[in-house]
Amino acid sequence: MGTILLPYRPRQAWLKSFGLALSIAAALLAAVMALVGFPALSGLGALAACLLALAAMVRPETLRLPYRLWNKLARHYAAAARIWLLGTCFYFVFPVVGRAGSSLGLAPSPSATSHWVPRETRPAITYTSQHRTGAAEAPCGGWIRTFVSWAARSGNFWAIFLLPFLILLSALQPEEEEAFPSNIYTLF
Amino acid sequence: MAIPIVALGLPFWLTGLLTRALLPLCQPRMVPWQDLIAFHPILGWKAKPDLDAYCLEARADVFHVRTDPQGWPGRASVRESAVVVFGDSYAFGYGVDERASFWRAAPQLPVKSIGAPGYNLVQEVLLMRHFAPELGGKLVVWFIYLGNDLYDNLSPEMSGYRTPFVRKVNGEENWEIVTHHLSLARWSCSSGRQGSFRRQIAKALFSESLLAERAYSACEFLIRKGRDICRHAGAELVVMTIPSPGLLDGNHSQQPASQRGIASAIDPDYPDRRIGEICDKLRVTFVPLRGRLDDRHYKELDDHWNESGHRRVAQVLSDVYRDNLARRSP
Repeated sequence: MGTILLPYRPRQAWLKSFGLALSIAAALLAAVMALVGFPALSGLGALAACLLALAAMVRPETLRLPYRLWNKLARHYAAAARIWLLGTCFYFVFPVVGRAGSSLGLAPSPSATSHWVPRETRPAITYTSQHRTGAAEAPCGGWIRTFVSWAARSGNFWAIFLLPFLILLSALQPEEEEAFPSNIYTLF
Repeated sequence: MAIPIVALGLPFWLTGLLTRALLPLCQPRMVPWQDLIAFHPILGWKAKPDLDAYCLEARADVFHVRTDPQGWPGRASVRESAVVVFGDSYAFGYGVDERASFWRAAPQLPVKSIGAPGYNLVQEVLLMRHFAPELGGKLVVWFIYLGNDLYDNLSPEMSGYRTPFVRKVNGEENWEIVTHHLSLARWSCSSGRQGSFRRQIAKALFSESLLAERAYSACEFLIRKGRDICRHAGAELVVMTIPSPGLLDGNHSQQPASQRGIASAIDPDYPDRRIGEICDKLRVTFVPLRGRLDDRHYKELDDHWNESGHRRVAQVLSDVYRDNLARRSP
């Protein structure tokens, strides 16, 4: 899933698609306004849609400033949203889920038995993950699939309630810089 | 608890999703840079023929590359051109669409550009020799990029790719062109101007130093070769130096950090003075682009010209051609 933040240094293609995205949004708004009986607003929306589409296809460079402003607003929103979501997780979700109990043996045993847990040597492939996985398995697919797989296998089903928050948090992360191609002096 | 924050950000979510969904439709199919260049047994490497592809530039945008049936930029031929330019990635038009390159920016002046990224003056002399039969009556403009050409002439490799170079003949003051080491095998005997050597090399070439003496002596040898080839072919040679954008006047604050230290320790006019003296001695027309270009003509994150820079260079070429015609007319 991509983030809500767009690349800081957009290529022409990004400016074009941004313009077209806004054009589609304006066209949809115009359609909604027409349906609910606001013809003037609908007309304005349609005009905005046409202008944005024209700018995107003919002179995408003209959208650089609106793009930067939009991304700046998105960045402020993402920062505020991350704080809100983390606070929700720490002060509401974790305390509620924590009441389900824990498999961690933190309290000392009433009998005087040792808390030593014998561990076996793990196959090399498990070193890609901190948690016990099958020898033939390696983390694959997206991180969501890995997370759910771990929760199911380790018995930590409570963690699945965190998944929506983790997905939202990942979408609010700044866009990772694209891996640039080899430099001009990498010839063949 | 998360619903309000999600609802507030709905426009951003939708715009981000829609922008990403439409991106494949707005982006031309790109070809990896390495697919455009191939090994050449005499020149070291050359662009592939009949290219018509989009390429992702190292630090910025996509640009359209077109080459002729021999692998040289643009579709015009040498025969139908009045001006023939020899050079490196600047002559190749790296970083801008082919339609915006300098050879297309002055339609009243047919220009053919011969070059490839990474070329040094030695490769360009070999190309002049190859094209000599077609250069009669033409103006030959030779781009010399001051950022790396002077050193690269002395180096048997460029980023590990074997390249023609010049070396002093044993015990003599003369130079010779060396090509027998060219092959597909990577060069591993030296590391050239990479990494930490770049700053020292730049400092040495922009001031009086042992390296500068060797580099400019080699440069004189190569310009003399080029002059002789052009004279024999009945062409007029013009040497045109291209300044490194980090060393343009008043541009020091915009340089990458690695270059700021260099700029303050060197004389940015030194290469043009030395090359100007060489051209004067050899009676070759010399046109330095320093003073004719500024930081507006270069890309933001790259040493190459932007579209405005190509238009400016096209204008300079037109002026040079006109002046040359005026000098030659009775």
